[in-house]
Amino acid sequence: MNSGAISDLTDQDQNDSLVLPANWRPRTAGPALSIFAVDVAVVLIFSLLSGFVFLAPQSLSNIALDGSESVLLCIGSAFLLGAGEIDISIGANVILSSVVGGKTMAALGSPLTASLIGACACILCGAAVGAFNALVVIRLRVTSFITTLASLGIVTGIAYVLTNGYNVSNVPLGLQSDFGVAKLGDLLPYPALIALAFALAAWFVLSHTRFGLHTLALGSSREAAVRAGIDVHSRLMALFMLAGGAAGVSGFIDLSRYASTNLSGHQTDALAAIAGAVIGGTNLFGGRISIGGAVFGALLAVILQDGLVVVGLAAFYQLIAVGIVLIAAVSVREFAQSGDSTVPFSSRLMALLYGHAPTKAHAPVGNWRV
Amino acid sequence: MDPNTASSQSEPRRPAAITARDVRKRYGHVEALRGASLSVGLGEIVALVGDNGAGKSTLMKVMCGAVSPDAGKVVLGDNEVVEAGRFNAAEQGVGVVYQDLALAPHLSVLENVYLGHETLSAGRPRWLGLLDRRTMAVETQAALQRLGIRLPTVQVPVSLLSGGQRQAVAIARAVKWARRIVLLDEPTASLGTRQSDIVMNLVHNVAEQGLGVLLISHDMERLARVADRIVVMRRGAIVAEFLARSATLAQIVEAMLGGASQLTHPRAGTSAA
Amino acid sequence: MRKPKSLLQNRPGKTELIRGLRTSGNAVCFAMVVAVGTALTPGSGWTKAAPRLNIAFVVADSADPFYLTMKCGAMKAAAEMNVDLSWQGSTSVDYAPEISILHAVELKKPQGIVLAPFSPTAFIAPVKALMDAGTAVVTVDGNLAQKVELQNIHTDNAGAGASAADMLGEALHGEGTVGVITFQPGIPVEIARVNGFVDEMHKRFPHVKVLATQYGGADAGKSATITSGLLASHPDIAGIYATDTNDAEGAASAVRAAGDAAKVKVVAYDAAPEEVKALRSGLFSALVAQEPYQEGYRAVELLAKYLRHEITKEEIPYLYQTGDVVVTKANVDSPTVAHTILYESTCS
Repeated sequence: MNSGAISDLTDQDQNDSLVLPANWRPRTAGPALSIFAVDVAVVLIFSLLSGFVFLAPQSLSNIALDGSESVLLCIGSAFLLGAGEIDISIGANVILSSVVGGKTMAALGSPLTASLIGACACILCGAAVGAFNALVVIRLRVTSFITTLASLGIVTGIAYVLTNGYNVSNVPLGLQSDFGVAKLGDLLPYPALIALAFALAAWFVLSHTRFGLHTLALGSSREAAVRAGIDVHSRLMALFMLAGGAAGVSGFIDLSRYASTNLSGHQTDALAAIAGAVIGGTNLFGGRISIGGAVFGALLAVILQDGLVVVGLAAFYQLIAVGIVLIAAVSVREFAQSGDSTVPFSSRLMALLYGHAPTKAHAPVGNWRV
Repeated sequence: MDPNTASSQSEPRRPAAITARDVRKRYGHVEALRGASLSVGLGEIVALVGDNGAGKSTLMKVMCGAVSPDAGKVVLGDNEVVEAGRFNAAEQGVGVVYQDLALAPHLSVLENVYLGHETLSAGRPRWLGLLDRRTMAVETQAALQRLGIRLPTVQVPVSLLSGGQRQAVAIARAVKWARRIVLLDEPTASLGTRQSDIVMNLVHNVAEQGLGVLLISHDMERLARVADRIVVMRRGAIVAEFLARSATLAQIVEAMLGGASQLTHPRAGTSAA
Repeated sequence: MRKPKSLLQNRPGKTELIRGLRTSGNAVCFAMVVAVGTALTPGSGWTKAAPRLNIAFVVADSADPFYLTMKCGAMKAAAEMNVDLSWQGSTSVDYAPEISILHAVELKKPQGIVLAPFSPTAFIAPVKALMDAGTAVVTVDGNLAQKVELQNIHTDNAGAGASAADMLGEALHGEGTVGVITFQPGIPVEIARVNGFVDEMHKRFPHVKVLATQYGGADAGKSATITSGLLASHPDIAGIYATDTNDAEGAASAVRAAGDAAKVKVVAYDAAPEEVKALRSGLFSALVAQEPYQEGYRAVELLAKYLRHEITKEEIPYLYQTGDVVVTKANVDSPTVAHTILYESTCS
């Protein structure tokens, strides 16, 4: 046969159900932009309702500071989710890391070196917990859900054993005043800057390095990753340690902000981290990660919490309001993302407003992994 | 029929891409392979046919190093004996496309093709693993074109492609990294008529590039037109080998079943009657 | 407003008269409005002497009847002292959201803040910053490790624990085994309640054996399970002391389920509605009630007086301790106890 007569697949596949038009362009920043838009909208609404108190620099600083730990955990979760794994021990990890760091600092003397060494202790402890999770998943072949459910209890218990139930609070005071609650130029809280740096590094790793690609492959199709010769075990170890390290940094920030550990807190950290990542566009079952989305998803929860207080809504109504906004946010994002990005968003919006159904959403490619 | 004599009498001898010799494999009570031997030459298309349970997939898995046989040898090229079941297909230049394609649906065409073989940016520390996407995109497009596939972009996630396009990408991926042979397990199993034609054309192009092709398929009609040799397996052993251009469907089916076709009530006037 | 036409220029016809009346009427109305408005704005001499104040009350665990009762006391004081009280609480006992709420409340620049701190250390820096910036802060219920606020109002928890020990020790006639169930490790208030109980028991009733403290996590189900375990493993147990409402309820239900209500005396902290019901039915022997109503009332009252310069900082003692009242079946219906001590979910 003459290879010159080989058909153009695109032309010949015209009648197939999933046709790829010639003008298809990848839409990579989609989910992050949608959630960013939701964040901005919510900020504006709260600003109007609060007489613009909510837009004050002090208020925006509060949001950045309150969100720094959540951003770190959301990014760590996003990486793991993207690889088809999950870590629900991440909140307990924050607690244990802060305990280990706090005890280290209390044992040492002078503020500056003690703080730096304490920071290292926090991160190492976080990474160690992550490594433990990875070992159980890899060697004992327990799914990450069960593994991290178990390590949640184990790590929390270790934290209580180490502290005998009392919060560690003899942390060098300079750590709080010069870092935890301090701001660069009176505007940017240092913990928020750390979270931002982490987010930028994470985005770069995800989109420009082999590690990021392999992470997505692991979640998109574990089988394909194995067949492609990827060292799945070492990648998983790195990912769990990454999430653990993020929890360690978060634990250090926690210690710096409050000059104390928070043994009874962080109960919903893991759930909030997963929610933030998923709201931001990271696929719950793997294959797609959005770092920008994780950042803005994390901030959404913080904006809501701070905003509802500023507006004066009673606590119980706040819970309802948060739930409603989350559904709305994800709906907005899904709508913006539907249609394979082959039809411009404006056209889809028009179609929706004028009553036609939006063009066919792309077939969901699930990757069910329990 | 002696597999070796059949080819030597009627075809110019090609250098061997891969050879399996006397492979045995048992799963519990079931003998999946009973001393099967098969050789595929460079640039040759060999079709492996047989009824379900004949051992075709098992033999293919042994030949790509995924399954370790109880006995037998796998030889790459003319004389390179490898530890059967322990060798890394990718490293040895053996490309494999399983029935499930093993493509990562969320990843783009270029990412799927280059997964595990990524090109890193020149001039940067290798440990960073910085991807050189531009080079990979160009090369992927070229690899597709060599096989006669044209896609508007290699950045599209493979989940958005049709079944035939996905099969093509999987084959292109295997071909790109293969140095000797590509093994295909049921490449047209879930495809329609037109797409099956396209994929078989692809198979032909692969052989034109000098690679050997071992193909498992039930699609007799197309096999007859694309393959060079048809090897029939039954109950774990090679029972017959035909040159594709001279074999008839009845012969092949009889070899597969070990007797005449069981199809009753053939219409009068057809070849089976 | 139009300049009033002179009424004397022409012979005043009917229309001119009416127009004139209307104009002067407008002027009079306008003047009245201005006068009343001035009278009603704060700071004028016509309203009550005290200017209206803006005070925020920040708590955590805002669904707890304890804090709801405190809110009633605070609102009463706010009404009496002409204060705009805004109440903000989180829904869990985690101090981190409470700090966020404190920061959010600060944005509205209240003149004074009442805070129920759920960490003795984490709130030091924010409260210090607030006091330095001129916002007066009074803490209630918990306390800070550094004395940076204007005043701290809380129950003498150790004393209340001792009251419970006295009650239980006497009921047991100085002999027997008792169990202790508390909320979680690391909470200073709970620690004080436990230590006060244990110390008093060892001092006054040395023959009473106190078992190791159990942690019920303020989860009635969990403390019920713990109590069942204690009843099973220590058949001679004769008393249980629970330091918070939910744990007490769990303990009581387990005692009832085991049929040991007559044998095991349960003394609970706090007098929430469910606990009072259990007291009346005999499940609890006694309740050691705090006075959250008083805490809330006194906090707002003090802040209002301070902000109006009616008292100076020097005159304010750092610590004000509210007391505890041991409530038993005997005094539960007496007027004083019923109206001011028992906790309520809504303000009467």
